[in-house]
Amino acid sequence: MSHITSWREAFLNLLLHKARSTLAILGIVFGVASVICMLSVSEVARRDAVSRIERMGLKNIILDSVKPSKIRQKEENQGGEESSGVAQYGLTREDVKLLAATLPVIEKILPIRMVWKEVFGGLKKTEVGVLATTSDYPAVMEHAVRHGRFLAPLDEIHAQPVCVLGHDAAQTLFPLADPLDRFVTIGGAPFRVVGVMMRKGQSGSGEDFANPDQSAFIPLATSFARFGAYQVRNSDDTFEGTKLEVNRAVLQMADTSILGPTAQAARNLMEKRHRQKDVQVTIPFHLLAEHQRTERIFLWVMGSLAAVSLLVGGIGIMNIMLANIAERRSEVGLRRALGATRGDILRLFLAESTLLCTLGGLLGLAVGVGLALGVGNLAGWAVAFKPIAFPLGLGVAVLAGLVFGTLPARQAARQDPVLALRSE
Amino acid sequence: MPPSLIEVESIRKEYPMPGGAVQALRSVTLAFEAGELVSIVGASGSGKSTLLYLLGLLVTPTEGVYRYGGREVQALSDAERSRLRGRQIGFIFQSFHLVPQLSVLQNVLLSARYAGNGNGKTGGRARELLERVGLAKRLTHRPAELSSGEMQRTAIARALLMDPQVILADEPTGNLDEKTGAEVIALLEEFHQEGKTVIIVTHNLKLAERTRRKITIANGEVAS
Repeated sequence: MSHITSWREAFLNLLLHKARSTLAILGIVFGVASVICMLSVSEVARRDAVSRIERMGLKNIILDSVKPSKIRQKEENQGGEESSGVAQYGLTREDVKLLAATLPVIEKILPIRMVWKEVFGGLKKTEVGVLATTSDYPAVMEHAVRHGRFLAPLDEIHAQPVCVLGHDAAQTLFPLADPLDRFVTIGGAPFRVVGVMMRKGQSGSGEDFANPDQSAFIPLATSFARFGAYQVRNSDDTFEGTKLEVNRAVLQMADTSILGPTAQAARNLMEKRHRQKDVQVTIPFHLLAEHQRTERIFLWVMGSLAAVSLLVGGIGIMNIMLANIAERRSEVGLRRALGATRGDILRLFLAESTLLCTLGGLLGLAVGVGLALGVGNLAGWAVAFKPIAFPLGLGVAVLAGLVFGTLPARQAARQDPVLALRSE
Repeated sequence: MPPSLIEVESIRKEYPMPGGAVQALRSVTLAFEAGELVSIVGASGSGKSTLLYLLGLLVTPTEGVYRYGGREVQALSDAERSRLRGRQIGFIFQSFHLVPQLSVLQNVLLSARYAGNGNGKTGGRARELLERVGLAKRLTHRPAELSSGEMQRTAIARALLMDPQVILADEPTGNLDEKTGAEVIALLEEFHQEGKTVIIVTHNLKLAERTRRKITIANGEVAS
């Protein structure tokens, strides 16, 4: 019997029992749908995490100032309110100089300071943050200038009152006009806009750090000359004073192979200079590897869940096929009497189970895409699909049809044709 | 002297059962010539149906020799026996064994599926046969829409589609009234006249009397 005839017959037999066939494939549908949905969610999470980590720079080592536990505890003891006093911690300009001098493998070192000053566009206060840094920022952070120029070394040397606006900050401050050579007020002082940056997106440690797109960049020297080393944040009845010179220092290496030893040397140096453990060292490249490990575990867990779902679906298919064969015993006997070999009978029922699972798989792909889009819509993220998910989902479904259809099909093929004929 | 079409020698068939093996046939030796019309009679459980299915290559003997056209067939593989069965032997059953989801024409064409012939080659013959058995106007009907006699006539057309040498009929009138049964027997006789070897297993002694040769089976042996 030709394979086409087997498939056609299998399809007609499935059509005969539409309700039963539909119920039988539900397990496969949800199994495949969960594979698609799971891979889509993991892809979204992966892309987001990877892009955040990559934005931190894969050849970089990041040193962040962190509030020491002693200061945090003190704040907590005061009922969660901000302390009234001055906290002094974190990286200093001296640390940056020392790191550059003692670790010659560092290609560039970029200090970044978050300046607690309000930015006014005209008379309107905005949510724009202020980042004080040096001229190396675009190269180290791979953040290009869209319009105008970035801060120049001379701006730093002469502590010029100039600024460069992040992409969104420019839109906030000058929605209709070209911001170049216009002035913004930062902490009460006028700063001339010399450039506008491209859109960058939040980097890996975004929760603790200002969004570069929504920031104004000023020279580091200017921030100290204009606003001093101490910063004060006022609220209704408290104020928070901090002497935090540098929030972040980004160390750029020539290649990734020396990241580990350099980070360790920087860590040792900082531990010697900062007894209160207020500097945290992060290697984005290692974070990426860590993330990949986590992603693998996630995929294994989710893959196991999907496999269980497909297993249940496959068992459902096997049950239905066994019931189907029991119902059609005399037909098996007849086909044998008409010249069908055991192989023909095996192929007939295997075609039915495989077709059933293939249909379930195709339906599962559609449901999976729908579910992923729905979840993405609810969660507000851009849905992404791993291309491998589609052949994988369908392949697993077809395989389930073959695996779980084999036992019933073999049972049918091995039936004694005479007993089968007499079973009616 | 040319060999008989079918020869069985010292055939024994045993069915293993949990309570001990059951002997369905014991040392049966028979020969069937081409173009014979033979009836096999015997009480229920005598082994006559086992003999028929053995002749139709659906049952493998436990012991003995089976020759079809002078060729020993018990050593053939399942595929080879199936091919021989599909092309040389046509079956007619008491309970018709029509596939309910297929039309009359499709049921007849089912024979061709396993003999390697597509509908295009056999479609014409199927229609011709159905016309001969009086079902020309029922081609698209499902078995459930047919009378018992019509169902058996469909089964006869199916058995003849591949133009087999041998027709094996297991109680072909068992589920039919006397008049319809007579019509079916008349059809079988007609095909026998055309040169087919027809072997009929039956309880119906009247029907058996109409055949030229009658074999009686008792306790798994040829009694006469």
